This record gives sequence, C-alpha cells and structure tokens, in this order.
Amino acid sequence: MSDMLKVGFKLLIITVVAALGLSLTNLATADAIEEQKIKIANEARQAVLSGAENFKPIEVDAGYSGEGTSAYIDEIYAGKLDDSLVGYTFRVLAKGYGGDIEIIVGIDAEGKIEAVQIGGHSETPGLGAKIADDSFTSQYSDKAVDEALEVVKGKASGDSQIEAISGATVSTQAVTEGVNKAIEYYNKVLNTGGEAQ
Amino acid sequence: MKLRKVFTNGIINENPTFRLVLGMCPTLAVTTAAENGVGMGLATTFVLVASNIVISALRKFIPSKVRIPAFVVIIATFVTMVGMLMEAFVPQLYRSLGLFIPLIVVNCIIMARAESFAYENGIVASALDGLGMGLGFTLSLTLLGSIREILGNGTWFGMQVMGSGFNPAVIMILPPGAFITLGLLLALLNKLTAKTE
Repeated sequence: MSDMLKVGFKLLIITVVAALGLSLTNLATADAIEEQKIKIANEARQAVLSGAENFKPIEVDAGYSGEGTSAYIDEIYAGKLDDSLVGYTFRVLAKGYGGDIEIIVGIDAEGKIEAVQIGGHSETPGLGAKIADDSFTSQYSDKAVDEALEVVKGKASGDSQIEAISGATVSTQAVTEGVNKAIEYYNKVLNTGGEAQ
Repeated sequence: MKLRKVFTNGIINENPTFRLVLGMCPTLAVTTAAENGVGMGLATTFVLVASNIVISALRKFIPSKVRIPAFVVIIATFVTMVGMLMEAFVPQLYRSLGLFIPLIVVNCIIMARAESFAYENGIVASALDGLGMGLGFTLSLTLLGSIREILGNGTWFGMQVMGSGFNPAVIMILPPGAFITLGLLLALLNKLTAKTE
C-alpha cells in the first residue's frame, strides 16, 4: 500500500510540474500568440486589398451567411485608409471536392476584384490543390463585378470567364462559385444605388 | 557502447524508418514534398533530443511501474510548449511546421527511444541517441519526400527539375504513392545490406 502511495505521489509531482510549466509557458506566450493571429488575419486581408490599412468587420446578411449552402459568406471587412473606403474583403467558404475551401476575396470601391487568395482547403494534391497557386488565382484579379464569373474548359475567351484546371473542374467551380457569392453580395447589398455604404 | 556508435546507430543500423519501421503514420502522411520531410524531421529531432535528456535525467526518480504515463506526460508537455513558443516568437516557422507539431506527440519513435534507451542510459548518451535517431528520421523522410515530389509534381524543394514535357504521376503524391515508395525503398535497402553482410 505504501509503495502504491509513493508511486502515485511521484506521478503527481511529475504532472504538477508539467502543468506548472505549461501554464507558465501559456502566460508568457498567450498575448504574443493573440497578436500574431490578428496580424496574420490583417495580412491576409491586406493581400487582397492592398490599399487599406485598417479593417472593420461588417455584419453579414442572414441570406448569405447560411451554412448548408454550397457557398456562404463567413466574414466581411470594410477596408479603409484614413477613414475613406478602399473596398471590402470577403471570407467565403465553398464546398470543394475534399471539403470546405476558404476563399478570401478583395473587391475595391470601384467594383473591381483586386485579388483572390485561397486559405485552408483539402483538395487533392497535384490536382485540385492547384487552386491555391498564383497562376490560377491571378485569373480573378482585375475582373469587373458587373456580371457573375463563369468556368470554361480550355482557353478563356471572354472577360468574365475563368479557365478550369484540367482534372479539377469541381474545385475550380467551387472557388468561382465562392467568388460569385462575394460579387453578388457586393452588388445587391453593399453597393446598392451606386453608393457604397 | 561508444558514444560515436550511439550517434550513428540511429542514422544507419537502426534507422527508425527503414530499419525499425517506426513512426509510419507521420512518415506516410507528410512526405508529399521534400520540404515537408525536412520540417517534420527537424521538429521531431528537437523533441526527441529534449525528451531523451529529461527522461534520462529523471530515470532514477520515475518509478518503473508508472514509467509509460510519466513518459507520455513529459513528451506531451514538451511538444505543447514547443508549439506555443514557436507560435508566439517564430510565427513564420510555425506557419510552415504548425501542422506537424501535434503529430509529434503520437510519433512512436520518441516513446520507443524513451523506453528502450533514455530510461537506461546517461544524459549525454541519451542526447546523442536522440540526435542520431532524429537525423536518421529526417534523412529518411527527406529521401521519401524527394522521390515523391520529383515523380509526382516534377519539382524538388519547390524548384522545377523536370522538363516541360514531363507528365507528373500524380499518384506518387497521393496516399498510394507513399506506400509504393516506402515498400520499394525498404526492399532496395534490404537487398543492398544483404549483399554486404
């Protein structure tokens, strides 16, 4: 019995020291980690809307934020530079081949897509995963938002066409649908009457 | 055992991947690219050396009846601390390795070395054993990752190495490619060592 107590006590000491070490580490790093997270999120927004310096969250209309649809808007930020509106960034989640694809879309105040970036996704490596490559996402840059984008197989000929990645039409379609969601929201909610909110 | 032999043991004679066939889950999962292999290998090496040192230092204190739970607590504490510190102070590195850090906890190489080496040997020898095993693991993962990346994507460490006429065999970076490459490498190494003996 006393042996069991001794063993238990030693294990207790080890776990207490471990817990102490962990809480001290957490104490020392929690603020820095929080700061890093904010910085990373801001950088992601700045990457698609380079002119803006500070970002203010906007509430998303219920009709667009619904989960269960194939693409929905998760977050919208208004990007500003010294109080003047530069544009909006959208975080859209779209159903891809392997799960949700996180798409960050930046639309400037003039109604042009500045850039699209792919965040987390689980598409097939070598096929669908190519949606994250610059060579694919750059297709969306500088597109006007007056009409919805359309995926084509082979060479894109029109202004509103996106060239599908061969062997990964589903992934291409999902990203385009996500970008279209942002375009639709921009036209119907944010930019009604020609005057941005 | 001589210290130098302790060190080289993990790289060649008892290479964790090709000889002990330990830690197969991370080996198969992360070797889609050479860079991932290096990242996972180095992160594991770091934890392996540190946990070997701590366990070796505490080997007289830890009762053998509860040594396994004690090892688990020590290893998990260490991995969590490394993760937190990296996220707070070297976010760049954390972003590229972040995915691998939690995987290290379940890497059985670390547990195996704690149990079969560090618990029975001195601190210096244990640290060298950890370093040797870790480097052996790193080299194996880099080799696997290189083969899979070159054949499956035409690149090596992200650089294009195959001509434009090369049609990448996508299966190599999909899960079956991991099993095929590992199996062929194991067979090759067995054949080579069988001849020299």
